[in-house]
Amino acid sequence: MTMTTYANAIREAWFDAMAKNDMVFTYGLGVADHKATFGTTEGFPVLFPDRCLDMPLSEAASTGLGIGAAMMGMRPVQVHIRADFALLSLSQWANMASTHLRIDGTPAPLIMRVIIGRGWGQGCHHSKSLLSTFAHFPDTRVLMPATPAQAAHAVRASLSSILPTVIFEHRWLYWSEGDPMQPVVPFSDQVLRCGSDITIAATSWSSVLALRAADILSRKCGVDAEVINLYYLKPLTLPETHKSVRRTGALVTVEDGWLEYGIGSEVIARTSPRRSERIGWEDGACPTARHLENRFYHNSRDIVTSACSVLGINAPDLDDEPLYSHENKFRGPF
Amino acid sequence: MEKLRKMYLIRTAERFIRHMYHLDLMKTPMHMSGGSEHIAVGVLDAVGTERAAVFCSYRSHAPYLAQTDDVEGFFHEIHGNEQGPNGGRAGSMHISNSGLGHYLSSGIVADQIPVAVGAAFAMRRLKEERVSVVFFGDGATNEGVFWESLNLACMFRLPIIFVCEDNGLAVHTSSNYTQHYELWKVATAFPRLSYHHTCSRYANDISEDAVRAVHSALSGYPAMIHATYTRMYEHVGVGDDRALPYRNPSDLDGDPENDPIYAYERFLVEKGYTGDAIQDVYDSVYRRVRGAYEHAVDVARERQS
Repeated sequence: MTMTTYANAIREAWFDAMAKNDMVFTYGLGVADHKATFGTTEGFPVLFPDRCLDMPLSEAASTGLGIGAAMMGMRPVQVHIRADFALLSLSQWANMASTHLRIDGTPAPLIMRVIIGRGWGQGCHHSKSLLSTFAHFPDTRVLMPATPAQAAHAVRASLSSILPTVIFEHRWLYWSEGDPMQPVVPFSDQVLRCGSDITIAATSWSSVLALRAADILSRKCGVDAEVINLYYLKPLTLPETHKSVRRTGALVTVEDGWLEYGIGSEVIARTSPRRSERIGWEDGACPTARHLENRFYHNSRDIVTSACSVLGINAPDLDDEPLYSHENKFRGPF
Repeated sequence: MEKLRKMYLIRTAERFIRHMYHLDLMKTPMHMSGGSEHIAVGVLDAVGTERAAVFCSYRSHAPYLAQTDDVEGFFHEIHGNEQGPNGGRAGSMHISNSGLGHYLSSGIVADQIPVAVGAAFAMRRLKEERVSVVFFGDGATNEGVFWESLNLACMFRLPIIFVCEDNGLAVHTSSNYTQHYELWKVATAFPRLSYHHTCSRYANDISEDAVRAVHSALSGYPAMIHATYTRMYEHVGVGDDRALPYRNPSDLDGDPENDPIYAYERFLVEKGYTGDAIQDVYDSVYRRVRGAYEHAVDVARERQS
């Protein structure tokens, strides 16, 4: 088994795609600079000089450019270095890209890579996830890979789609390691840890937190939690969550985004667990300072507490559990 | 004669819409092209419909018919019939027919512009000798994506023609109130953009500008044709709004010089065409449009019964 990082899995998958198909091009502010979008486009400007394009700060028109090029048969991949900037593309996405196939009958399958920031002062304009926003629009595909294998799969899945696709990449997952060849089932959620007492369905970075919570639940409460990653947000079919909830009857959803109108409500509505709780970001803008940010985001402790509350047991003492280990790697500035 | 035929086709199609809209079988908001027929027809005649990829706004009738000549599909579409190019999903505002080179009609002001830039981007990459042609109103120049798109087109030196159909009104608001810039001044500030302005209602003048625009667009200098015209009807709907306070009082004069069909007819007469020859064109266009309209109505009525 060859282990690789999430960032490298993304880079290699796009490299393969661009080497095989010269209609694929990637563009956006910074894709061709020395930082290479967290290394995910490393070497592309040299290998594919006319297909890795830096852009002016015109997010909306750049999205339109991708839609028009996609209509003509190309496979454009726009990169938003933060999801917050994708809001500038929203009219193009919702009014042009996601309506074209249905109205005209011909596809406009733009692909948008959208990076979610967190930590070290990302603050209110560099931290949004917008997963519910994009998943709300019809005729779009929304993927939120959490593992290197899913990240590589998302590249192939988006290229084989006739619908425009958004791929959400969480900034903190870029260092996470895994086997990129691990099988990924398309159109499905994915079991990351088997368990029988409670189902924890989580998106993206929250899956890392959920695995940590499952570990704590097992050690301290004797609770065997099943952790499911919500990879395909649209179309949302949830075969694994359905199976799991039928068995456990108890569900905690954890999402990287504001709770209201979020994926958690959608998952609970579709799987009808007997008991459930939802976890997501606190309502309000994400603050900049670390101590405030720590209150804004949920952590493994919140997941453990919710799971215990759903199961009707007392939450264990969690003071000795390190909760922010991953963030210690992050030293900024970007 | 071909330009007259096309302009008259558009005018006649809209006459049928105006006179039959009250039957309520066309359940789609109509943004009429009346008065601007010479622009779409003049530009697309110069570009060539084989070579053009057309993108436009909700004011779609003239660009759609000038590009596709598909008046039959047009009437089906605005009647919501499945025989329409979009099977009734688009109506008047969103009509498109990619197979015939009309890719998009946008209900969002200016949002079609960057998409047209993207089509031009693909044409350049795929080394196709085609030109992206995007129609929009003067109101669209208030939008950010318009300026972003000009910049992108110049940056990538794309084969695109921006056609601004300037009627001086954004819905009911005068551009004297909203536009605190001179389009020509800002457009000419882009060194790579070739800018043509015309107030002419005469389709051949538009074509002359468009021939130069095509040449420059294909040589790496995107072009803009800024054509001023007088909107014949209200913003949306088939009514005559010329007596309303937001209109320019001179629009009430009914100056025949403002009518592109009159202007072209006069040109043909001066060139020696007889009234009968012109009337023949009118008659055959009328028969065709009437047939297209009646068939579409029959289908729509049958569906309702």
